[in-house]
Amino acid sequence: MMGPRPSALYRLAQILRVLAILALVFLVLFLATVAFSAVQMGEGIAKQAGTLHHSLSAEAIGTNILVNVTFPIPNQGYYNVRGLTLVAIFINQTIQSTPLAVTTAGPTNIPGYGMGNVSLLTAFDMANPAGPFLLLNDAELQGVLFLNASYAAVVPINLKVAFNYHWGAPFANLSYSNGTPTPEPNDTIAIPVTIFFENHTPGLVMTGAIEATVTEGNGTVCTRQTFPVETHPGPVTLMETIYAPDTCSFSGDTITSVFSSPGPPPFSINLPTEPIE
Amino acid sequence: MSGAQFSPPANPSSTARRNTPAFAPYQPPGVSGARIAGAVSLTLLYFGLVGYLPYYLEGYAAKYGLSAPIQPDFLLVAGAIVAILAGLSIATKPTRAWGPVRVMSAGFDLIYIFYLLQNPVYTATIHGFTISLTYSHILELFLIPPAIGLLAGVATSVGDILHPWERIQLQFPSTRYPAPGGGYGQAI
Repeated sequence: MMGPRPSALYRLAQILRVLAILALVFLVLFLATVAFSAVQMGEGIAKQAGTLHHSLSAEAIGTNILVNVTFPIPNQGYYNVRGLTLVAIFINQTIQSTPLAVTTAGPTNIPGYGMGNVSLLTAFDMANPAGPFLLLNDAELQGVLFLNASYAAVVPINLKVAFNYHWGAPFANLSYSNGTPTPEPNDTIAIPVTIFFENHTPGLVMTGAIEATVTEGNGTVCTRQTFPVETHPGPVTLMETIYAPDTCSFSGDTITSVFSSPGPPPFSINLPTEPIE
Repeated sequence: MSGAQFSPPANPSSTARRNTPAFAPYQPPGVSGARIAGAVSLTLLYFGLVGYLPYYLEGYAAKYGLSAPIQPDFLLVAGAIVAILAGLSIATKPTRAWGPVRVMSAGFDLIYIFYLLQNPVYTATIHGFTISLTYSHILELFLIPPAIGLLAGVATSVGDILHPWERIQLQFPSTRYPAPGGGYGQAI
């Protein structure tokens, strides 16, 4: 013989109490495994961080200099990382009020006990107002990296990482120096010109030509000449001779040059104007 | 209204007392010393886990540049309140105050978590990198147990009103005068 049957309300309260305890136990255990797994993953990433610069490369397309950073993200935890996306913003308020470059990467999925690769391809457009400055000057850029991912299916990760990025100018310390104009046969004048710059962009190799244009003070183009050039990271010195007609006055003249690469992909940027001294 | 009829506690002045029944009226167990000792132990354990441990971890993390948006003292005070309400919940289980205390306990847990959700961002500066970690979704998951607990408390409170002594007799059956066939020791 059984005792009296409990009321529905009693049974409901009993079920809810058990559910609350089960939910709490499940969440605590789940959180513990997620935390442990995330620590395992973090340790793996920290070990990989030292190899970040080995996969840095750069190329020039159109008016853009593309800096590509590829870095592996090991996941030594139990849980999957889903939809890993990165957004990086590069700014330098003293150069330009708006961001110099915005880049996105992903989404990438990284399985548990697996490895994922994230390529962060950043385009610095030299046609921007800050372009001439960045072509010629190194700069310390402030970067903000936003990382979004879903870890363990239900735990979203939102990281905002502020970092500093050293921009290496591809034509740093650009200078022209010219020797004494010398009269040549055929009514021309030879001007020995030395073009010097340093390519500070890591991994950036450009093959192309510098077209130098000598312009008189009144705006008349005196002569235009092209020199082949291959830039590797490091100093580049071009010792060339510009031949100009003897009608050029050279008083207040300036020399303007354009670096262009036929590609593929084609690349063309204007270098700043310098006076002939 | 479903459910069996459960008798109220014995009235010492009733005539039934003079004629010794086969099964004595149900005697509520009351709040025993052992229960109070258990409640105090649980309060201390809860305070350690919910109050002091977060307080300690926050201070430990601060040494490594990890700054939390919550004052450490607030964690201690809130953890103490959570622990005291949990202890009260254990102590008052054999009484009709249990339901309301559980409602208060779960309600405070919800308010506490909602407060933590106002600014769920940890900021760390490590090797020149500033990392901000948002943990709002994890906290939102932890709203589930107290939300269910709140419903359970409400159901218990209403049940204790509609079916007086049912829960207490079911959860604390009389062992002195067992009812025939394994009943709940109710009065005849």
